[in-house]
Amino acid sequence: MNDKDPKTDAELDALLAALPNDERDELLEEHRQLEKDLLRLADPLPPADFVHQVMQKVAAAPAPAMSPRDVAMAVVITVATFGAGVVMFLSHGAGFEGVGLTFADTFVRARELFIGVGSALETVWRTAAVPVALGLAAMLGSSVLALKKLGKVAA
Amino acid sequence: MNTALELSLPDPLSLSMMAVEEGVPYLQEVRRARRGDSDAFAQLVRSIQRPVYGICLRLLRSDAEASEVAQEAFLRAYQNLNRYDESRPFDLWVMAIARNLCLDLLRRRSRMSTEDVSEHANVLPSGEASLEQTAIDKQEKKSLEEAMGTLSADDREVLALYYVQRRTTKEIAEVMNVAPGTIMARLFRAREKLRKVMQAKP
Repeated sequence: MNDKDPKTDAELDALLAALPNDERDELLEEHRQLEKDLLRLADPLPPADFVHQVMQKVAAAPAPAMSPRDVAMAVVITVATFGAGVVMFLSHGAGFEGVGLTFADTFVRARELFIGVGSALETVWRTAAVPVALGLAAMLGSSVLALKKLGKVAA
Repeated sequence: MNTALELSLPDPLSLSMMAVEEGVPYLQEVRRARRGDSDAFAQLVRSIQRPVYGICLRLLRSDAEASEVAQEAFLRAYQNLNRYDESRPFDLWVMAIARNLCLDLLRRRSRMSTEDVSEHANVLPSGEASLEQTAIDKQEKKSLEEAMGTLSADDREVLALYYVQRRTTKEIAEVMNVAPGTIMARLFRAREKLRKVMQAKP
């Protein structure tokens, strides 16, 4: 049976079905006898002070971690509070229309900021492409190495 | 063929020694422990310490390491009690934690255990010694434990879970994190190896 050990129950069925009747009966009978002996074994008792030692460790351990539901709830409450604060701050004395104007103004300013940053990057690239490329490659390489090292430590 | 596969086994007495409340074992104790009741957690430890320690000992073959790892498993269970899925049996959850810790330790071991297996046969006593010793000769049982000690951790584990702890194939699949449709084949392979070891013994 070593050559083709069954991996699944279906393969085992097929393997046993393929055996000659006598051989199969003999094999199963030997397994039955073995099972009778196995069923008489029992788990050992742990040391007498096992529970005491566990509870000592539990007492010394930090408080149990929050459940994902509790964490999600905390995040929602924090975000909602922050959002409410921002809205109240922006709309202070300006009514609801003021909030819309502020948001629109933010988008315009953000667009200007992106264009400015893009222009700066383009200038740097035109004047010193090689040092910038080398710097980026070095940063990328060191990040990959650091991540690999972290992965090994975690494993 | 399924009847042949099941052999003469009775249905495993799943969770027979466990206190069952609200359909899921230990749910009340778990909820009390979550609220900070340490007595409830101690009760949980007392209830399932034997199967958890048992599986650690079968895998690690060292009582000191088994005790240490089983304690660590309970500690991790306590620290992650809020993440425990109440639809799963608590004992299987802790056993899965213990199993993973054991496998980590086995992987870290740089060398094979050189411990004398026969010494371990002495630390694996029977549950009800007086009843068992009348049913089976002590020497035979020791011989069987020795033979089991020569098997791989996977084989020892599946045999211990099924025959010693009387878990169902579904429960074993959950603890071992494998497909339920492979458990009978795993059991058969383990029994076959055990049979050959027993046959080779003088």
